[in-house]
Amino acid sequence: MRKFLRIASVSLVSFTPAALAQSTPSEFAELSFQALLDIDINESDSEQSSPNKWSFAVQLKAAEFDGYKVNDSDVSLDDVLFSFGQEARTSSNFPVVPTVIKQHAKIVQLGYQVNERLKLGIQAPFIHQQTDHISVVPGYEHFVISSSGLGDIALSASYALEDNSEFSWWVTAGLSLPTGSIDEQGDTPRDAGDQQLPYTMQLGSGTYDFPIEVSYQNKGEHAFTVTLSAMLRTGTNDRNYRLGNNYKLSGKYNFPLSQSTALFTGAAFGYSESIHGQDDEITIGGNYSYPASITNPNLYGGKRVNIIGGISFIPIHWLKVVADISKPVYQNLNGPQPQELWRAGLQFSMLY
Amino acid sequence: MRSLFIAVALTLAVSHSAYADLKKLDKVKAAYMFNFTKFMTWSSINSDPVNFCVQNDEAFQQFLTQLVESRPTSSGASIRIVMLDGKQSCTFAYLIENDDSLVNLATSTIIISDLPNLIDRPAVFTFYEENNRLRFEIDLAEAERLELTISSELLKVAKIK
Repeated sequence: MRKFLRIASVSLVSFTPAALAQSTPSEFAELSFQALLDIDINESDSEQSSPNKWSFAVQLKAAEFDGYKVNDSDVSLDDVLFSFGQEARTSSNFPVVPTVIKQHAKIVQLGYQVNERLKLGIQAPFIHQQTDHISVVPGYEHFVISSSGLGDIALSASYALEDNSEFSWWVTAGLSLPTGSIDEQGDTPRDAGDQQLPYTMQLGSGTYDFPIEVSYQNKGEHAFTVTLSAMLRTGTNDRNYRLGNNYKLSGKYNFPLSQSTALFTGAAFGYSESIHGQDDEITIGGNYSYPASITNPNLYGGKRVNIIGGISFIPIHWLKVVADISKPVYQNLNGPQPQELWRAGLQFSMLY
Repeated sequence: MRSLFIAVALTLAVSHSAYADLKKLDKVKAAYMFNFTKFMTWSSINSDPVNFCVQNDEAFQQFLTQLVESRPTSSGASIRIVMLDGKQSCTFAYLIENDDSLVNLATSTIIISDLPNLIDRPAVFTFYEENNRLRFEIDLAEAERLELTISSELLKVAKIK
């Protein structure tokens, strides 16, 4: 679950490349139809005025995980749940099993266009996540744990290496600050009262991380975008672990429907590492120290291929609305690990 | 050599000043028009050159000339930007005033205009403004009459009449 949020944050630190300001005939000749449709024709927005612009965006994201996979094979909850007296305890079955994981994030983003090629941004996610569980522990046969609060705030800078009528290259680099809590607690079967929650229920990474992204946009008759992004993590947090790095390659193809509406579809391949180190507070004694799969740092990460679809709409000139949904078509997970069912986003971007 | 440099500099200065005061709106229109020629074909496309006539605006004509000369068209057509003076045949005509010059145009001329109601006959492309953005409308009946083939990419971003 947390991997999802980290992957999401990588894509959020990049910005929609704005067409660079034009002045000469040859610069205007380079503009594509889409760029022309986006130009503010007010003289106050002319090349003589300051190119500085503020942008503000609010993004709502949701995702749901249900069911388990070991590598690319489905495994049932019965297989993952350890049953007293009926089977032997192994490293692949657990007395506590998360069943359905739901997460929601509201992400607020502020951008500042320094000049034609450079844009700075800051984004703050507010996260709410909830996990349903089953267990063999008396009194905890079914229980729900949730956590919510501020996640990791990220700073970013996007630079246009090239931006003309036919294509653009943008590179984005950032710094994710450890502002999200890694000390979330809740009532688990591990003990009476509240205890430290597993990695999935924490709100931040606890480390300084570096989101990077390189994006190529083709603006011709067949407009498409290819993006390579990564979240690189450093050091070890106060709980003696570090989340795994994430890498993602995605492509999107745009179908303009009208002057203000476009559909897009695409695919993304993601790879994420398992967790390095361990939070000893969420383990138990005995030969099998992990009470649930999500407490085992090795049962994180894997490969995933998602298909993506969405629509972008500009109802008024200063507002852009983008809705998207994606669904995995292939997951190869270090399992048993909860599998992703879907994820969706709704973004409102304002330029002023 | 020095005199050549001065001559080139003066030429550049004069040519730049010709459109220095041109409004941003007009520059965007010029870029649209250039794109129109790239995303459509017309019956006389292989005739060389194509005359693109501009009505009563020399600054715009200068700007569009330099814009077209800066980029080759995908069709390979050679486009000549000229003032509308009734002496030349016009493949395209950009009209900003509703006067007799429209009546004198050949019936095969592809008209682009800012005016929604031209006398005599409609424009194929009509510009309009919406939320501080420049948009355009395509009159499909007129395009059909002129036997134009308009790319779906162009139709997608246009308002269809």
